[in-house]
Amino acid sequence: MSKKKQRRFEIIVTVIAVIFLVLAFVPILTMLLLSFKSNAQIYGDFFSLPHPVQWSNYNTAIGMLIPNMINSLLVVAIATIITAVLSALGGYVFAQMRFPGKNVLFLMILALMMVPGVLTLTPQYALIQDLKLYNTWWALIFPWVSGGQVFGIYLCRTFMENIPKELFESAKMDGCTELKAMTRIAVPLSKSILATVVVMKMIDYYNDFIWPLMSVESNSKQVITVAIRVLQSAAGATGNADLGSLTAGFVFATIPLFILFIFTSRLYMEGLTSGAVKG
Amino acid sequence: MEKKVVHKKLWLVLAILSAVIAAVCITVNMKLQGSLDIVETSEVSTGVQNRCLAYDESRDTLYLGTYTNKLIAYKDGEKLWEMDAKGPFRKIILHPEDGKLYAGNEDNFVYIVNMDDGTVLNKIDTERRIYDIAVTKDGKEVAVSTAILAKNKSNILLYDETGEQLKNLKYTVTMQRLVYTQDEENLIFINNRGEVIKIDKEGNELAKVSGKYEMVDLLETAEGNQYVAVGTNGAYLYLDEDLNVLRSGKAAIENGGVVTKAGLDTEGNYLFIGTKNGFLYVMDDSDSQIYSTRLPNSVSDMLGIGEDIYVTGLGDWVDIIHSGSLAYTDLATTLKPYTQVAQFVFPVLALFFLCMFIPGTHRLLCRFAKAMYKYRMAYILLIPTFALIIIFQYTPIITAFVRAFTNWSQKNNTASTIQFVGLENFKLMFTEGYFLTGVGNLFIFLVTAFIKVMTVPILVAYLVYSMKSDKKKYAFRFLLVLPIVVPSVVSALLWKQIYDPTIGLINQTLGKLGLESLQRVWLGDEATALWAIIFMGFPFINALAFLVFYGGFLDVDASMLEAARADGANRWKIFWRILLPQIRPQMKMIIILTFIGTVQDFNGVFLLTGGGPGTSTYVPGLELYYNATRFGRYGYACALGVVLFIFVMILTAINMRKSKEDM
Repeated sequence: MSKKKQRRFEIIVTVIAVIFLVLAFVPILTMLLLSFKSNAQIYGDFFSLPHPVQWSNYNTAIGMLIPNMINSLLVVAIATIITAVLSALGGYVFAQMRFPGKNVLFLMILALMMVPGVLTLTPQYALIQDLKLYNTWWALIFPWVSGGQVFGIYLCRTFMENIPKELFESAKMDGCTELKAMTRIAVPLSKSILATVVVMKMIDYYNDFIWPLMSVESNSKQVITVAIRVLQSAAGATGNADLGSLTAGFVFATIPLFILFIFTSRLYMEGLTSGAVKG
Repeated sequence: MEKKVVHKKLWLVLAILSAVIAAVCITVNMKLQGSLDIVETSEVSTGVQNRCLAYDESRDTLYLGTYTNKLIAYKDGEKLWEMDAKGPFRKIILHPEDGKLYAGNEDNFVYIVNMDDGTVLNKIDTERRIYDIAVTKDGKEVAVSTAILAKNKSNILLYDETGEQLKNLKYTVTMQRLVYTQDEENLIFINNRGEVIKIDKEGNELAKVSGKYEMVDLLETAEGNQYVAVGTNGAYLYLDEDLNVLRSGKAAIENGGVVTKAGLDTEGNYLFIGTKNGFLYVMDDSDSQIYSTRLPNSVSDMLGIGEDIYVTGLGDWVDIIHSGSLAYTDLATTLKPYTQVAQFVFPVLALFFLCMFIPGTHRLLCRFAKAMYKYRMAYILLIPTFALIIIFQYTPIITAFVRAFTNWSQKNNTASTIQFVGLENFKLMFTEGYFLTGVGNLFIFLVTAFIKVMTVPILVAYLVYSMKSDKKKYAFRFLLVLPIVVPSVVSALLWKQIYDPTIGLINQTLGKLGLESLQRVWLGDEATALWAIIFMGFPFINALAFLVFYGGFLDVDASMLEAARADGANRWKIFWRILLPQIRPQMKMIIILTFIGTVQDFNGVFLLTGGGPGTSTYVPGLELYYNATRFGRYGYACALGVVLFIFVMILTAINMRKSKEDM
């Protein structure tokens, strides 16, 4: 293959990739553009750059959405921490401990991966009402964690199985208890996989919309995704929507995941590209 | 030896004892269940949404005012007569002695109707929206509270029986309810500022008490010497004639409920408080809450007749609550949790003791217990995990499969009302139509989802894979995955904005290009709505699929590529012959994930069109959601879930098997 041909190919590849990239960013750029414009500016000339820039849109949007944002961050953080702890626990128990019924119990967890959420949606909705959890954060946390830990345990077990057994055996000889062996040896060695679990579950929980919509009623307890939707439909219903502020709210709701992604993108991308998830 | 025999006997005694206790618990529990069912559903059915009601014992007739402008009288569940007005009925007052019925309607009229045949004897035009009416015992005077909301004006109007206006008292605060005092010289009303005010007929304020909450209902006790003002938050005040607070209390309103109506039984024992989300709370005369239940939906009126309370609300239902048995309910509610647990615990205990008595099983149990103890650490560490999955996953799964065959609904929500209906729910899927439409759409969604996920992500992965420098690769990878930070709800709403007919990106761009003829109401047109939803997410760079495929390419053996190149294979051939076959496992996984994801997903449809226009974008998942939440048809929703689950299982199994054969 000639060098010239090689370069031409590289250029074609780059051009096509850039086209895809630009197309993928069209909605995001539209969102950013609209969020800085007033209604008059949007209806006047849709494509024009905002002049003057309407920073007040962000004041309005953040003012309305900040309580829900705090709710989201808190409830997602609580749920993620519990999920991580249970994943590490379960992963360790199934990877390194021996006990009767181990396979059956692990199968019980694994089988849940095959169960679609729509099957359990209705009974869970009734269940949280029976348990008097309706309209509380527990109605979000318990179902999230109970389902979210399944994948976490699976990942952690796969990872922790590869930690040499001798490490634990020698530690136990030195009088280390099972709990200590886990917290002092297994967990530090599995930091990377636990971080993957944390990032994935955070994105999952933060993104959830239907379940909070069903199980939380008061706006003071509601998470950001539902609050955004409520704001949007309220704007649609009255007809005189402040589109700029609404889109500023969209941007605001995007910020937490954006920050998370900036710090953990390498981890997230590596986790998925490495063979951790393969058919 | 003798000691052992004693032991054996002890086990037997314990087993029998537990069995007896178990039997007692089960019977007691069944009895308790009966005494807790104090809500009876009446046979009266208007076929439309009810609003207010009244009952006359001497005629044994129930009068129902509806939202759909009708006033209907029922006797023994049979319709006696009906009468039409122009607005929803607000309040009905009966004067059985002279056979007159006074009905306040939102069409600004107070109708005076003959109770026996429904003929309108007279109507009073108030020219304002009516909130409440009150009538003196002799029927000579009618007081009406009204408001013109747009002008922020409220009035209390007094009329004589012929409709002649006697008095017009003007206010700027909306008055929700009003009643005459016992001597009928004065009036008491509540307003939306949370005040209870007593006035004389000239409008002079005689007494005032204010709660710290918005008032919603004002009741008069049967003796007429006490008044109860109830706030939207469930707090209430018992007041005497001069508005001195006799006692106060608060119902523990859960689930963010807002009180809409309250009621008293005529014995004066209990206060009933109903909420907008359909809960009913009962307070006794020591202000403690003794009972709460869930009714079909929002409570709009209550009426005490002796010990019974008739309740109606938004919907076609009238429930009767027998307050006579409420005294036992208190005890039953406290006892029930214990007996409920006990009826499961004691049979297990009985079985356990029996096993301990029989030598064979005795040995087995001991071995089992020893093993459990030896490995206790592992089990203890797994307790939280399994507690969660059993309560929040396995219980719902079993419930879904069992209740899919029942008439379980928001209304039929107690053990005694849920009944087995066989395959009724599954038959309904095929007769009702929505499900079949949904399956048709789902099929289109599935096919397009496969096409989307098998083209662009592979292509983009290949592009990035073909780039030379690692830095460039990383930059592109980062940027291509970056859009996942937009929450899916925001993304969907953003696309909804893009499709907006006037200020959406697509129509604006078409307008700029001079292609106005191509502009559409994308989501509002049956012809385009489905495809607009499918097009959402263009250019379909699925981050997960992209990264997985990219990882697959990276795993391809370098020596294989070298060998192919040495044989003179070009890029095209290498891509088709080597790279693609090598990522087959990844493709299989992505196909399964896409399949499971698409079958369940209704977020996009829900946010963009809600299934419309018409039913053109319905999917089974959305149908399930609507039935579980809006329609409260839980059994049917479970059946839909079961069908979707089986569908996913069968196709996943086929896929797995097929790719196993291919290997």
